[in-house]
Amino acid sequence: MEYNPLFDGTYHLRPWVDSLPLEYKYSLGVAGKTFSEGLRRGKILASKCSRCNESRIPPSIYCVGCFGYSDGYVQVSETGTLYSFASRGDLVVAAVEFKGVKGLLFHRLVVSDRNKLEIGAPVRPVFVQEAIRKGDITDIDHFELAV
Amino acid sequence: MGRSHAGRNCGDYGEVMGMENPSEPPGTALTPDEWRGKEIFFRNFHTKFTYSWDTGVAIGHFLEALKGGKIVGRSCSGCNRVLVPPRMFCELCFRPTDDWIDVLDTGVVNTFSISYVNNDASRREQPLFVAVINIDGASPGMGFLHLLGEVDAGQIHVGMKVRAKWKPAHERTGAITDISYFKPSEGL
Amino acid sequence: MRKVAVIGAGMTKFRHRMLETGRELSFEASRAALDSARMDIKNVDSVVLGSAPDAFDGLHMKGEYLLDGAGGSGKPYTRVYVGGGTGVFIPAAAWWHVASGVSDVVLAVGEEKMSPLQPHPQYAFWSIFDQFLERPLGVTLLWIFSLEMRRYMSVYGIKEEDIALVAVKNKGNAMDHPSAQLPMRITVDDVMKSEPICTPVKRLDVSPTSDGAAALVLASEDVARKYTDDPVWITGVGWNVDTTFWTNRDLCYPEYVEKAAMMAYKMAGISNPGKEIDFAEVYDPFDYKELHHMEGLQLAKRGEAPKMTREGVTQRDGDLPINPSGGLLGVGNPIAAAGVMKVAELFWQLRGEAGRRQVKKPVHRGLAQAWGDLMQVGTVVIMER
Repeated sequence: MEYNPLFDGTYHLRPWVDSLPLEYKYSLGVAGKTFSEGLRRGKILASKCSRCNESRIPPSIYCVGCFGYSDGYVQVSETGTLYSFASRGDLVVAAVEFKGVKGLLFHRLVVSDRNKLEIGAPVRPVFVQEAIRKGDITDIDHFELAV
Repeated sequence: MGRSHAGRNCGDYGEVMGMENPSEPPGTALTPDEWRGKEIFFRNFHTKFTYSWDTGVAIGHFLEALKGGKIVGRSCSGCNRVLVPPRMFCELCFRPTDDWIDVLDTGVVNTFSISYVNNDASRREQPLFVAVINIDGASPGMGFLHLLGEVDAGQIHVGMKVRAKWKPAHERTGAITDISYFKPSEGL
Repeated sequence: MRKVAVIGAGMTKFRHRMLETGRELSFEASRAALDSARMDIKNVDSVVLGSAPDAFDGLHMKGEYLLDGAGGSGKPYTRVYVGGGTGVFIPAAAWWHVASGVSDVVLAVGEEKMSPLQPHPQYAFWSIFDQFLERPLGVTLLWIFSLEMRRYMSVYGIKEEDIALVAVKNKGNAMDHPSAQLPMRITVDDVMKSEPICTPVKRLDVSPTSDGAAALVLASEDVARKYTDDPVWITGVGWNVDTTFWTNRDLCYPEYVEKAAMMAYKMAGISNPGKEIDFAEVYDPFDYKELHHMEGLQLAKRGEAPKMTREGVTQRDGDLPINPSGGLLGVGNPIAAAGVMKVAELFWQLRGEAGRRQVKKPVHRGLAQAWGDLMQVGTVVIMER
């Protein structure tokens, strides 16, 4: 063994185990709260910037492009298109884009015939019953092909 | 957008802050009712990280010595200090330290506090007496954090001489808590 | 080195709990700072952001999470961190971006959202202590403050009542700050009778935990002169960190603050700080810290800051106003944002824009300082007009 000035033969190797349990309560924020309320009403909301003539999901109080305040919220179109997808077994995960809206929404896609899966296919959200919606992204149960 | 941002894009924010032109700074305070309330704008998250640290050379030896009922330090011949807690290098001379030195299990209270809170800020039923204790046999100002016991709150003072109250040998595990606390070593 | 100016500042309210996410708070402060500089994000070359331990919001890579809200997406972006010292280190780090010629315009942002951690943000501090020697004892951050306060009182024979005067002053000053979380008219007696937390520290000796953000715009001389006739110059920066073996250090005097200050004084050409600094925003998470730091900064002789406080020297109408903003005790303590708030106060005071907070005497040179980590770091910024 090479000489190591920090090792003098009296080294007591032992692990010291401890844990750090952490609990958080997150505010959804100004835009997050509005998005959440939209989901409860069965709507997907984007934020709008009139200077950049752009809408984005998830919505934000500021425009990522020009760093100004967003002007408000708009509901995205009822039908989106399949931007990309991946699958394993029965599970299909989809990235959905909406016309005129920047940003993608990730969700499950339920489809009876895998052969119909293709990029650009029209898809639409299927919301759970209004009574059990919680303002979460899971208020959308899944997306389905809109054909 | 949930709250009014009107007028905030017009500049002169310094004057706004200075209240020459009073206007509210941005931000939405939550009331205690909102925080506890049924409005759904919070999400909860729990996690627990578990770590296994190697105690390292210096602290490994220090903890092993505690198990044997001794406090040890390291000497540095560069600055002629005895360092407690020990380290394998001297942070002033930036060279390896030289030897293990047995120091005493007595010391002097450098400073103390009576803590009414736990580390999650909850109130304690019984206050805890905490102190930095400068250890006899180490260089001046060399000490570590520990607890005080067998003493009344009103009797504790800076400069109080104390002695380690060791756990029985069979209960020691090689931890800083092998010393239950430090207690007054002579008449108060 | 190039001259560096501050040409804009902005901040959110500081509050115990806020609706806005950390990103949204960062945006609000950044947008306000850019608006006050009459600048757009496209003018900004790089962004320096600071935020304290990730454990507060449980977002690892918090700097990256906050990036969008700080205007940093697609730009050279740096997160800096030296515990409680972070807030004043942010403009110091932004300064070297401009002084070196790397950037002409830098947005400097401090953000903190402490409220998510349950049951109390205090808990996050447990993880900064030594896992072998200190955590098993049940250590809390409050212990080290109270131990330091006791040592300071003991060495110089200072009374708790003298220290309480700082809380009375700063919470009173905060009455005039529109962002303030704890503006209060209180008396020494109120402080003395407030609930003991870790003796000698009582409830009213301590700043609150807070959510909030603050931001500054820094620019090179040529850019600054295009945007304003009234730039405020950063003429000195300093920082210094001592060993983490805090129980081996002299707890009654912050040597690392002295060293940070000396670095900044040398840069600013200051040889007699007590005379040459017109006013200061000194780090005051606890009332005794203001006194401790005045001494470390050489604004008071050792053990004599309480006397200056008692004599009214540190009031807004005194000879050496300290914390005219209301400080952390009054405005609040969203850690990294609180330090930036102090530098923003220098900007507003030096430009005469502090409104009801404006100190009485004319001021040309101010100092802001922060402190943190395990009682081991000092950060200093000096600004002049």
